Amino acid sequence: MRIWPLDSLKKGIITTKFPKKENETISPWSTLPKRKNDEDVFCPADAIGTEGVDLKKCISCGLCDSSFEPSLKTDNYSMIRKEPALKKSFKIFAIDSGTCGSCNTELHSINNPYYDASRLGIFFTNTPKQADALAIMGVYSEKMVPVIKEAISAMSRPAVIILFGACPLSGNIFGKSLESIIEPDLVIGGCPPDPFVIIEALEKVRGRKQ
Amino acid sequence: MNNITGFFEKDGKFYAIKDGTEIIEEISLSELESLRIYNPVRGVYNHGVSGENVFPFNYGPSTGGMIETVDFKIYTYGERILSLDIITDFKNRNMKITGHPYQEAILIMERFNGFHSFSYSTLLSREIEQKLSMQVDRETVKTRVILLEIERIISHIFKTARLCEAASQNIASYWLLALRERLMRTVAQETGHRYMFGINTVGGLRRKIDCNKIVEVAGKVVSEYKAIIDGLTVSRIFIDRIENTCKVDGQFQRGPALRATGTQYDYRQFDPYYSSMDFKPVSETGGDSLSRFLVFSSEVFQSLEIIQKASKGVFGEYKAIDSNQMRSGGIETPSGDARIALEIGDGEITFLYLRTPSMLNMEAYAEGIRGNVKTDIPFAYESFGLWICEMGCIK
Ligand code: SF4
Ligand code: SF4
Repeated sequence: MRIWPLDSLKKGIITTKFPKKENETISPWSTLPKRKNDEDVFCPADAIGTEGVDLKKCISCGLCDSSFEPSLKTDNYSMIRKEPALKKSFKIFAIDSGTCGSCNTELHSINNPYYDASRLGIFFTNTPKQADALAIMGVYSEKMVPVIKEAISAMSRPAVIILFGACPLSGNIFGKSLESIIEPDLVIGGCPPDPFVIIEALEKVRGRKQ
Repeated sequence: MNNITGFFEKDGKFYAIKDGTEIIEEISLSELESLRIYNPVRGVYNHGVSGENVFPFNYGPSTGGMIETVDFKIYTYGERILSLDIITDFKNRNMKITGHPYQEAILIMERFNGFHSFSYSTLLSREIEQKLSMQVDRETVKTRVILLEIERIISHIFKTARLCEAASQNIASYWLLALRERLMRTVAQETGHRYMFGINTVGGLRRKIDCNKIVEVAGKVVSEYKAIIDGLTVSRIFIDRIENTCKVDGQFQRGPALRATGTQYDYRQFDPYYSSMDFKPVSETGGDSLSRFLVFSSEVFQSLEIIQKASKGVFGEYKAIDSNQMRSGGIETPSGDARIALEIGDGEITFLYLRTPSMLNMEAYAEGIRGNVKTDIPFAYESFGLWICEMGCIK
């Protein structure tokens, strides 16, 4: 008979020390691309401007690789408002408005043993009533608007609202964004966002990381 | 007659797609209406029943328990499920590929089901190459086969983890998620993206990919996966929960769900990329969640064998056959075969029809779950590998 706990003990510790220590790895094109030369290049998401790449629009496709390269940095997010009252414990309720499935699985990846977000006091909840954060993923979908609004009003306060991935931020290259109906406290870029980026962004919005 | 697995309308005429052939045949509306698959293909999963004390119990559309947004209406008078309605259109994205140039169309296609993105982007790229009578070099074919099988391994490991979680086998579930993560990190390092976005293009691959590291890590991951499967198959708690759950005996469902009913049908049998592989589908006969689990877990080992053969083997160049005729290509995604009908013109997609495995498997799930108890819903659901995203509209 298999004794699972013994098997897992034999494996040793695989959990990252991030954000105290450096991230071990990152999904290259999910990080914000940085310029490597001055040549013009086509971007299917119209994400390239004079200031660089717009994190809300970039769909992590790598089509600009003749002039850009992945920055490999964990800073592909932008914070509008932080909520230090959530420093101790942070429960997330995820809502899928119209995703391809990858943002959903990537957000939940922070729970796997390599990241183990529970060590930082980050958990998932099955109901918006108990949630400190709402992570909204996917493009605008008419039928999901009342569902999202209901979830927001059901949340206890203080709480934060996160727009997660290129879909709700810009509509990606096939849909509409959610920014017209939702005012986020945090936006996380990437298609999908990398788990290390997610962890760093969540730590920041809780006021645990400067 | 071959099983009809999809149909579409074009210029006022109806066309049917069948198993085992790429030829598309015209079909009359009356023939279509009598088809078993008519309802699922239309996207209606409505089985409402009524009777004394019967009430619909609602679960969804947005709950933390499901990966994606879906709404279940469970008709019951207590514990036993009399029938199940599944409402999948809350997150319908109405994606449009027609009118887009090829590369953009491929980028949209890989975001149709991001979890199986490489299967879908290969399907579309290959179909365009076919229309353009394009020659694809052997290195591309080899890399595509390896990455298709890696995607299958990752998907099946994830399914196994979800099944373990539903059956309260939490240590096994976390271990499996760690294995998936290990393989995805290697995929990200070698291909530039954890979900293999941005790799496929018409005529080849956009990045130079060295598969040696991926093959090496896949070998290690699959050998650990075997240790977990060996443990699960002797765990009475696990087996009891999935045995005889959600039995399906129909023949219209796809992928591991079909092969679990004794039908040896897998699109890789007809796929020219696999022609040198002597490919034989894995099958089981029980038709229940246990049989589906046994099929997809065995497919993990089979995929590793294919990867190892492919990495050593010599592939021929793949020359697409010029075909102006309407035909339907396909690909065996990890959830089952997807079929496509495509037309192009002036560097753009002008017509697209896509039949995905979840369209048919959802109907099989709704049918099989009748008579089971409410607590069986999660095990049964996870055993099908259903993706709501691929049930939305794409044109
Ligand atoms: S990765 Fe793609 S979307 Fe992002 S800037 Fe480059 S081309 Fe544009
Ligand atoms: S942002 Fe990208 S990965 Fe996330 S749901 Fe949209 S298409 Fe999928």
